[in-house]
Amino acid sequence: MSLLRRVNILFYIIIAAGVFSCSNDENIVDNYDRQGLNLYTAEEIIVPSFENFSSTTSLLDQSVTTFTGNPTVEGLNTLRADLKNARMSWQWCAMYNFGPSLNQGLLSIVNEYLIIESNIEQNILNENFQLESLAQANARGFKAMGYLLYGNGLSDEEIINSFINSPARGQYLKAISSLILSKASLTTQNWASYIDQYASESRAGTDAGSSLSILINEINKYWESTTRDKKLGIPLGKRSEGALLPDRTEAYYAGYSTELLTENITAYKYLFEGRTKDGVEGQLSLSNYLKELGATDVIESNDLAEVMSTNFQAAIDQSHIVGDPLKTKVETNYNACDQLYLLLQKQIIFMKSDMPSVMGISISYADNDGD
Amino acid sequence: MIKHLKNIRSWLEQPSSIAPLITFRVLFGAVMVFSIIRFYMNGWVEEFYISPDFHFKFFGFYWIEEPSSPLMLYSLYSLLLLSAVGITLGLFYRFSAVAFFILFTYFELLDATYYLNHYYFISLMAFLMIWFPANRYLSMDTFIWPGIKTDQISRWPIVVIQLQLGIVYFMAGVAKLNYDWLVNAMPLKIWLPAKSNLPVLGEFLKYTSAAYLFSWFGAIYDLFVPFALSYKRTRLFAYFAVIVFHVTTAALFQIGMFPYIMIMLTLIFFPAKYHDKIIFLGRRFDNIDSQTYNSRLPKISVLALSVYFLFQIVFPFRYSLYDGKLFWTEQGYRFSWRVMLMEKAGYATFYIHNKETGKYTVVNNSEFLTPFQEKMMATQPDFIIQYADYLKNIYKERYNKNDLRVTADVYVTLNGRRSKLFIDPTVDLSELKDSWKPKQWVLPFDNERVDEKS
Repeated sequence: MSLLRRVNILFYIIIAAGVFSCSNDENIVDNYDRQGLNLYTAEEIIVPSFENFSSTTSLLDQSVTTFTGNPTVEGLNTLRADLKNARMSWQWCAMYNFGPSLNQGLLSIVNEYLIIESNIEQNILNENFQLESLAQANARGFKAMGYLLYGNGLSDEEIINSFINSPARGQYLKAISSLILSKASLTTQNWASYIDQYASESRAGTDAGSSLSILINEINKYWESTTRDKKLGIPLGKRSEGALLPDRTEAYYAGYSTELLTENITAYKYLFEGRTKDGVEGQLSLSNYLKELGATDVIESNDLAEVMSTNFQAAIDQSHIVGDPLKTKVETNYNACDQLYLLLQKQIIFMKSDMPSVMGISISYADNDGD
Repeated sequence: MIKHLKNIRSWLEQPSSIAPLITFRVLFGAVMVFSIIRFYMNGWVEEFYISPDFHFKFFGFYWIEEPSSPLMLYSLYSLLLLSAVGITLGLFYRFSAVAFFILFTYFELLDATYYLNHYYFISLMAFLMIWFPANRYLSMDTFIWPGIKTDQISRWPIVVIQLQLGIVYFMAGVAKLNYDWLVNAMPLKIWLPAKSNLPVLGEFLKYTSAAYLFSWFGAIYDLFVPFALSYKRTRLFAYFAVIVFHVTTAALFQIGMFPYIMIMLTLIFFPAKYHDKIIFLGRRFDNIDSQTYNSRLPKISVLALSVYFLFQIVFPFRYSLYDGKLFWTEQGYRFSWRVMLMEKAGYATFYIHNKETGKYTVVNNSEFLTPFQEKMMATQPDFIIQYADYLKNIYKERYNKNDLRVTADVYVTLNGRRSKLFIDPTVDLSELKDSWKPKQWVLPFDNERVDEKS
């Protein structure tokens, strides 16, 4: 038998196998459009979140101007409400810390969890500070605004008086809010062009550097470092031999840390299920991709998508049981907080281990001959 | 027995053209030079060896120390490159081969996180090359010492290379004969659809049948290709299969240089006449004295080679001495040509317990490990105890306390199954020492302890 004939036979076998598999529709594993998923995620979920964040920070910045120009009770109430709105909308985009957001260093500008009050007071006195520099990270962001607008248990009059007595205080507040606004708008603007890259065909794979790999890695990193640890674990003493650290809660001064956490978990759930912020479910989502991949029956019964959605919901429900203010609940409602922590911990196992494993996502560029 | 050995010896000593060995030396050296530069250009020297605070080690090689400074490390790395250049050019060949073997192996032993079967293969090959007379033609050494020049050597180096390559393929094929690979088409059922965006091939990869076809073809290929390459009538076809197989795997998987190395090195299976045409450019016997390099094998060498190859064949089966599923416990997994066999991922949370107060701290792994190290650690029991030991020392200092316990919740998913508890969460991992003994604290694969924490 000549070599050529043998090669031909091999080709026939391959073609026959191809035809066989094409004609058998049940065999389709991945008729999933990853590029479409990336585009949908960016267009319907990520970009609208940043747009919303931009507009709430813009409103916040205006209220700051109004209030500092004329500190009144109404002005303070409006400003506090706008601050809360901005912080709530931040929960929907904080975890997308890649591309434009990473380039702007948004995470550290917008929301530091460790605030040093004396640094803030010193900046106000000196009036000479580079708020954008990393050295000022503990004196800026929403929590610093919370400190200026609520103080440590100060009455409304005392807050208002502090601004009347010190115009520098108002200027500092304004400096923080306009820095947040400018970075937020830049990030939103840059997403308009980044989206082409994000949803491009060349990045529709699953290797390190593909959009899906970046998205999953970043949301996991944020969940571990922030949703689980900064928002709850650290105040709960998970990093300090059980010693509670209530002042490390996200909204320590304003007192709605748990509400922010709930919002953040909801944002994750909606991303996972491909829902827009209004809750409308699209066809393209991580959840549907998992279902499509057959994570429901890879080998054993493994309805991973359902399990993950259920767990997200359980965490949201548990966060309602925890309630606010978190700085006191970590002590008075410790067991409920610990229960919530365990739910967040359980979810990261699915998000970081099971889900990327079933999707075949690489986290590293390193050569790998099989785990 | 003695007679047999003698027969084997005289067969191994039969004269043969040096050309295949020269082709092999130049290609091996050149692809190593390329790999070493590529590794550096990818930033991996920095990322893998300098940045991490902690390095995982192989059992038995805990004593390997990191170079004292980055400068030292880069110097050693440069020497590695030079030794590979030395092999390619045949310059101070024996010295270069020894240096390459030692340095290459040293870098592999520095951090077990980056273990690849093909690095092990290169270490073995480099060791064997020390003993080959591969500098006796087309080398700088023949300019320095013209007396060593020859166009004939005895057959044994070529046989040894073929045997080593054959073992790599065959054992990789044997390793594929497992239930998940053949019956479930795992992990290819996960990995192939993940590549469905590739041009042309991608359309086909979406289908389950593609995973089965690739699994079965891969197993058959690995098992039979060394024989098909050795047999004259099938050789060309087999080499065609080598190219198709390795080019496909290179396109599909992140396995680095391995496919190209194998495509080049398997040329050793072609008879000398092909190599003669390239190496001697038809000038054979013209310019040099036709003398056979007297490479009579000492008796001991035949024995040594037999022991070496016996070890190669037996060692991969050491796993059968352990209970439990090999892919789960990984006892006897490495150094056995198990390539691309499983999709495994895990999540490990470590707790530092203060024995006095009963309180604990949760460890932030990213503080101590790179993301890649963390991923590899979470699924490999020996890494888990090395890390636990490291953590104990760190936290002893941090808390200025001696009576600490280290435990971990480790969940592992294997070939698409739901994550299960991997390690006994009550065991003080910092008390454990690695050994050949079974690791009783690795929970059985069929344990039902799925996310029980809540």
